[in-house]
Amino acid sequence: MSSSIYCQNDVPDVTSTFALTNANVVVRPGSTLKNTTVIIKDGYIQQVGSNLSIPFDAEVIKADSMFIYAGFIAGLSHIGLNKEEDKTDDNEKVKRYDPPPAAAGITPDVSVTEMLDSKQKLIEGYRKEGFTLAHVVPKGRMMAGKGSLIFLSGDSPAEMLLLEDMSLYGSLLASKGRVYPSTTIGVMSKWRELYKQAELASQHEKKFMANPKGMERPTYDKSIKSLYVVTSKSIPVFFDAPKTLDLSRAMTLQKELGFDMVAANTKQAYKTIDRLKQNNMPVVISLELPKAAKDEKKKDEKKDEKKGDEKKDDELEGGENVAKIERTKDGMKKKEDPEMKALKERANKSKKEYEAQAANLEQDGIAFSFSVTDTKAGDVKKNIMRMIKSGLSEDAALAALTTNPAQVLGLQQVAGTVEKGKFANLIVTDTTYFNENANIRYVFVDGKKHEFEVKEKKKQKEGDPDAVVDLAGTWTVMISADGMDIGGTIEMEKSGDDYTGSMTTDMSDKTEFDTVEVDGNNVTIKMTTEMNGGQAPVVVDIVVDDEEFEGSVNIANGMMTADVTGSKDPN
Amino acid sequence: MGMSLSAQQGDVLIKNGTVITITDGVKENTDVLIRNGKIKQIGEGLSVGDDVKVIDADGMYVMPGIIDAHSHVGIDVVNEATAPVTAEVFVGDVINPYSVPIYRALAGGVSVSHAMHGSANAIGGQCETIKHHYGEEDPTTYQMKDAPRTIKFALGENPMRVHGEGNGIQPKTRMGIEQVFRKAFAEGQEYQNAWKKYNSGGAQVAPEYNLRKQTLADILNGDIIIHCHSYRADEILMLMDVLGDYGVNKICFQHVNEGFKVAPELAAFGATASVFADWWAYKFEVYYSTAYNAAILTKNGVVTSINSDSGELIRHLYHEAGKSQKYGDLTDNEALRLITLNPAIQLGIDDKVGSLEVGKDGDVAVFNNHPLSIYAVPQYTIVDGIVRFDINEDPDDMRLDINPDESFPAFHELNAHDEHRCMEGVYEFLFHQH
Repeated sequence: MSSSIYCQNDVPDVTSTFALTNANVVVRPGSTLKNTTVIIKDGYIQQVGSNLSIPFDAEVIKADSMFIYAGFIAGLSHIGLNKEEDKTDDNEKVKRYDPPPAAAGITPDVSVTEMLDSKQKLIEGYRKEGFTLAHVVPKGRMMAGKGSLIFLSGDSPAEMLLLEDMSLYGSLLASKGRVYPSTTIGVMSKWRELYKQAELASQHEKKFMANPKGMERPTYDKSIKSLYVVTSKSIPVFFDAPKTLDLSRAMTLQKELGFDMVAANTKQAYKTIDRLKQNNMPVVISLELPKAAKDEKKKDEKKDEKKGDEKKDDELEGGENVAKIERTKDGMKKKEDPEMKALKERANKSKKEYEAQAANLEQDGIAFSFSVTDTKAGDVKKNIMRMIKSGLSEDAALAALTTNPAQVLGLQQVAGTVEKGKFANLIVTDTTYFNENANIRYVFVDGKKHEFEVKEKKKQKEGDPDAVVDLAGTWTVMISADGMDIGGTIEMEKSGDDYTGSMTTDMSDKTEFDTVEVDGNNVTIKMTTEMNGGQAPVVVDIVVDDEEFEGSVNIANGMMTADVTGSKDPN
Repeated sequence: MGMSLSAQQGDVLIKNGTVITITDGVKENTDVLIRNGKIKQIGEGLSVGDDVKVIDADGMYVMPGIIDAHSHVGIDVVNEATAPVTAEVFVGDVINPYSVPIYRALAGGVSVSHAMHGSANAIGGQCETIKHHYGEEDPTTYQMKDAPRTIKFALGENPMRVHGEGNGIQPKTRMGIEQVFRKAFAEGQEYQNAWKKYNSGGAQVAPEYNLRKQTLADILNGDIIIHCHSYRADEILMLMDVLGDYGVNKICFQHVNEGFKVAPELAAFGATASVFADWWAYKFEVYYSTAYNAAILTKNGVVTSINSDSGELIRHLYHEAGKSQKYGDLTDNEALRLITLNPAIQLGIDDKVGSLEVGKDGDVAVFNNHPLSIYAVPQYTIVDGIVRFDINEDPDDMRLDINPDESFPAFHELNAHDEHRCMEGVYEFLFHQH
């Protein structure tokens, strides 16, 4: 917290002391203390225990039955970086065979500290998911630049920065502009050459500084110079290696050149476990997963349902010798054949292998952290749960989010657990984090509180079976889903004891109702609408209160749901 | 999949076949025993314990695994086409053990191939001789141990088009290509001399490290065999001239379609030749060719092989070899040498493969008919004593690594691997406007 004598009316925080009382404190994975209080002050954890005396100036947060975890740490990310201009020169004058280093993706001198933006959206996005610290690296090609450690809070880059230039982020990505090196083989030989050049240049510089008389002076090359910390093994290389072959090729370079390497953003590390173990190489796995197999399965089941109706037509025509292409109401369609089915099964099997990467590493005793460079903040919880469903234990998942990254990033003395003396980086959830419906209520970063509201699920109004309603007329309706509001009109006519009618909305044409069921003031309207080239059932379930109603809309058997409200037009 | 895919060296007994040794005649009703990946015994009535797999080759023909001296199968990158000299790059860095064309090559009886850089550059990258250990996921297991280093050179239209036309730099003409070689060798010499001086204490500061020049120095020192893509007689003679000036003599000319015109000169230089059986007229420089090329070169004493340079041709090299009997009347042994011992010599691995001799690697191809017969179909292909292809255990989907986000198009696209890959990665350069 900064103080100033400018005597402006900037409002400081009321207090920097907090007491979270009577909670389940997960000190570290596998060690939970019940009915425990955590007191934090000035950005540090002061005390963890039961029956503590609460400091007079503490803001007390009653955390009964809540869970407190150490704040999550991202092992690799691009959080907090402002939009960079594309540094690669597409200038035609660039010599393809001898481009400037930036065009070739050789920018190890770039430091992420110059690109930090305290207002960048991802900071809040990941903080909401429980992240408090992150290893941030620049975006780039074969040698993107140096990474730093940041707090996910702060009003300025200076406040965010914890440790600068503590890693080199590298990859096998070739140049963007088709200049040398434009392929993986070019990149690998360039890595070798730059590394050896840096080793020799570093020796030369030392010799020259010791005794320059009569000695050829070193040439100044900022890319080479910025590699001295890598060749001297002062900092590690986080080598981006998503697929098995990327990792294998990176490890080949590491074996030849000898730099300290962390296998970063892996998606298939389970295939190279032996070599990882041999080299005692730390692993940061990708939190990104392929699209789940069951979403595909739902689509297939729908297709099969449709085909069920169509098949009957085929059988009438010839049984075994039917053509592979059939005429349907949506046009000519290919029938799914057994080869396709087998290919899809193998693809699904592969998806499962990717989901089980974390579980496999745990089984083989390899500690890992997470990379979020290609993951959306909103997918973090979802993907962790998918990994747990595939066999990862909760303790290992928590370790990957806390103690393991603290270890890999050299922060084990100040972060990763809920212990006295460590940074006040905490997550408070209303139930165990690993419950699908858990909500994060508070996140403390660097001792500052961030509070999150819990979205209440809208309760359906209870219906009254004895009420009498008159639906006839024109109603103005509003359908809301996913932040989108769609307006529309419902026309209802009474004929005898039944109602008929139709609905028109901003997004659909006039659709006649199939059925209208009335039970007191509970009304259920069923209709069918055109969607994605097929027919989808729509069910509107509402409770009518005189000239207003509210309820929900269910489209295509639960594929989409929305809230709906309506009011009768006065005529 | 029914194969044992974990070990890299195996034991197998091939019983009772007609064994074509290449170096010791044809032996009927003979067994070949492979132990720990090496040929242990060739003889009649051999027996083994229950731990060894036995293949009944009765009525079948047993020959050494076929060797393809010019291939791009199993590598992810073929051309680093941004500079006319890229000696430092190495295709061995991008071996892809998941590449299905490797399996298809095995189905064609090929156990070893020379994975090459493409022909976009006058001096291209280093190549790698690989063993087709399909099933192994670690790419380093594909490297053939102790195989000599090789490098790709290219003469003619390809480097002229990519760099001269495409980028406006030398080489634009054949005389330009000659100067690219001379300059590159001169720089390699200069580099070597500078390091020699520093290492012997003659200089205080080490010269700047340059991997490209270092590789050129290695070529000058005879550490690397040159494999040169070539067609016309004039450029073939030119390169021999240049090499003579720099004291380099380890060279195998590839394609060398006009080799028949300069066969005596090739033989005198000690150059070898790796040719197509009957593929020409696809470019103007390949216009003047003959199907008798392999035979003429052979009869003039040039060590000659037939290669595929194609993921399609590699599947029937035995038929390609057979063509030299129609066009040139080569004997059975001469024809089969074109795809076994001769390519082994050209790759410097003839002490390990290329014939069935005790002590050599257990690389064997088993056919249902004589391999030079049009009715030949490979039945088993064995690499280092492991059955890597068995026609009776050949599932439809032989992929080892599936992309989980794979899409399923309604039709299967033509696999790029089946086409001529020599200019892969280069077309964008040619059609990109400047």
